[in-house]
Amino acid sequence: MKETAKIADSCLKCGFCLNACPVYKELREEIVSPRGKLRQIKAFTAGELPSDKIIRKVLKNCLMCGSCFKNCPSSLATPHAIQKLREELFGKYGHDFIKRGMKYVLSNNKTRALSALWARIVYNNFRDSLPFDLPAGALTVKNMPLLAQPLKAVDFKNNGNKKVFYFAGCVDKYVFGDTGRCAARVLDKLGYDVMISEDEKCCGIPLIISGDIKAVKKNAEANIELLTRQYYDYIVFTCPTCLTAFKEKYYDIFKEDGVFKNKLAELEPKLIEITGLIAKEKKLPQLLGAAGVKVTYHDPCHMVNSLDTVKEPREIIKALPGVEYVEMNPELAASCCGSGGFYHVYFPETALKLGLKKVKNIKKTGAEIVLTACPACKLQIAGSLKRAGSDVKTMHIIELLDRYLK
Amino acid sequence: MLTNQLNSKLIALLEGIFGKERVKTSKEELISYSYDGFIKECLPEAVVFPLETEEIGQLVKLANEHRFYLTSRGSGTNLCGSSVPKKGGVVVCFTKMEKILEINTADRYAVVQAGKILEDLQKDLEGTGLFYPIDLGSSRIATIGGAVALNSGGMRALKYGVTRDYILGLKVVLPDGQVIKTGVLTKKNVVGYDLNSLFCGSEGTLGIVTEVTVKLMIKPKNTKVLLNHYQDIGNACTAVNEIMASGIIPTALELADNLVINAVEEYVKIGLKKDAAAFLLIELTGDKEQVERDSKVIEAICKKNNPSRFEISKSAEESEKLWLARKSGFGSMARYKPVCIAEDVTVPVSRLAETITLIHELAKKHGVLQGLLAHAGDGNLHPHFLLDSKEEENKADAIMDELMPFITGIGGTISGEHGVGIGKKKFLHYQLEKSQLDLMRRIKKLFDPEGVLNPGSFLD
Repeated sequence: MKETAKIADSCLKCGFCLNACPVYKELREEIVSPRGKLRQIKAFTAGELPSDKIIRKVLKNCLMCGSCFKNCPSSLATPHAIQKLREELFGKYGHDFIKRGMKYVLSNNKTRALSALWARIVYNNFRDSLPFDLPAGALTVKNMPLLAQPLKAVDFKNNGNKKVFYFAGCVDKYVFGDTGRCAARVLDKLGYDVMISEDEKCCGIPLIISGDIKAVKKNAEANIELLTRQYYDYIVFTCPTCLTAFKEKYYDIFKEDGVFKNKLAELEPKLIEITGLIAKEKKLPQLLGAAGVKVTYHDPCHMVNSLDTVKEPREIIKALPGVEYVEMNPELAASCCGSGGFYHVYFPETALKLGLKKVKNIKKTGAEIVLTACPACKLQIAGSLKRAGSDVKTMHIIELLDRYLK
Repeated sequence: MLTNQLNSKLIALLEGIFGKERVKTSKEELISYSYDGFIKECLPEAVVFPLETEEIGQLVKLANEHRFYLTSRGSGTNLCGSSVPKKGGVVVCFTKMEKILEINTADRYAVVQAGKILEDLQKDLEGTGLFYPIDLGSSRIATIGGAVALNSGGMRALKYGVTRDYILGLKVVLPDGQVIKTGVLTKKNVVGYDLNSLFCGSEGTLGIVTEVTVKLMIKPKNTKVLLNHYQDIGNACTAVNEIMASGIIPTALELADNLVINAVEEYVKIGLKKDAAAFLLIELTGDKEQVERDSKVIEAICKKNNPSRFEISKSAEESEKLWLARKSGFGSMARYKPVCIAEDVTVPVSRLAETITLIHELAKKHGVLQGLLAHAGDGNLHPHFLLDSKEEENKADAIMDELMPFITGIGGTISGEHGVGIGKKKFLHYQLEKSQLDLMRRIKKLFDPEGVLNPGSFLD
């Protein structure tokens, strides 16, 4: 608690975070701004608030995008302070029913696979025959994608190539399985020996950001065990948020567990986001055929604010022969799409506004395809485009590469 | 608060004007509007978010009738506490009133609502070839209404002047609820008192500005930036004076002292010269030939004064890189200590060197870590006092108490662009004689006999 109070107390109140915060920019109310949140955290820790009812809601109203941190002159760890207080409040209130369900589904690979199977059968068969539409977070059921075949395990060929463990994450495994398969194919073509495992568990981010770090400990341990069991040259992610779980959140979980903390630190240099890895590949352009499409790119928040991977995706896109690349203009490209973990479920109105704003910026570029590097962004942007009646396609960069592999 | 408490009946009346959604009274909301960029905080009793001028007219009438205070506010980034509700009452928050009403490219002006963020205004102007020349350290988030209330200056004041110079007209709700429109669309206008200038910089004490007509300029196409390190601060200041006497007007002429250089280098690592006493950053803008010609003259002046390192940008990217040295100044210093107080004294430019030397001596004498950023061409100095706790504020005050008589004695001001608010109130007597302050109080009384607007301001 002392740590949170210290962060809150260090705020100089300059207000530079306000225009960086997607939620503030939409609502224009100080109470939800990063500066306002810190000030309320300070009041809360000092016992000055009548109850925790409002601050709970205020703290929930955060996309955890990290751009307040990125734009703070003193680099205050505001997202961390918000996270810590969420953890404290979670200790008191526990999960709501949505997250209780998620906890059940995500804590165990069997329930996760079964839920995905069930969703695929029911949803895929009935979505288009539904006589009415239903809201689904910021989107509607009819604007959600059909679930692809899940990604299957792949073993090393042991062909002497560099060994890559591909950590697909829940969405690219069960919703956008095709993205996962594209990633595997592209990595293979680039000369990596790729492994995908059945034993990979949910990274736990959806529960962590609700303050439940305890529930994630088991999954985190299993993931670290899995990744240290044998030698890998790289552990590659197509979901930047899963990667931030390893790079940031897990350290918090194992703060007092020296063994796992050390294992995690050993893993760290091998953890890499897929565009970060591929951008290093000099031979990439030679593997690709002429694309002849006009594309733009949306920066996922965690790519910008946590992983600092901004140049690499653009380098890859430009490596595609014949591609016409149009920037949304860097700042608009990095403005949040409104997905933010489960933000869009709790604050559908704001999330929808952010989504539609993104659509407007995409349309302005005249691109046929909007590329991104995060499955959650892809879901939100594709849904928002569909909702706005646009036929612009949304793809993970890796899918476009796969499409034009020679 | 005149009535001391906003009762539920009054809240209901406020809700009658603004609707339930735009009247906030929870403790959490009130805390969120108890501060701005200054240290001191005061709780309001309610916060309202106007969307239309008419609503504010009704609000002001209500405030007079039921005797409660009003303090207007934009994004809350000012550094003197002028938007803090010093005596409680209602905060009128303009952040939702941010429409652009007109952009006129033929006569080069724009009409915007008071809550418009300066950077957003620039974005709206993209593609017109025009821009609003005032560039504040806080332009990313500061509103035009706040800039008018404080007559903000900023980085480009040397070439372009300050907010006041760009106001063609204002829509103002007077403290009796009347709405007036001041000014005309021409630069020249000598009909009656210049009310634009009276409201601008009045810190919200005379009326509530709801719309601003700003003059726009042609955006220059080319930029060149020079960055010079000097081992002796006197040399840097001589260079500043020679530049100012050369007839060339740089867009920016900025100075940072050794502590700032070290702070920036530690934080952003861009290869600054850590043993230098100061750096000068000079920006020239205009058409290509003009920038080339001017930069040669400036280069010669800078070199004549023995810089220990001389750099000049050859591309837009390089210009931006050099600017990083200056723009990271505040943030880099801010992480040194928990408290950072920014001062704002301004002196005639020929007195720059001795003033900086005095500031360094006084900081040393009182044992306070100090980093100086200056809009040197304007003689506008921002000593930043870096303190371990708010309790040490008296040390900074002691320095200022010794500094201020010198500043006003040489014809300078205690605040060049931040405003008085509650931050500089204690130093006011160094600059304004009682007769002048009394005149200002009589003006206030004439506009606002009940004292409804921004109570506890510099006038009290």
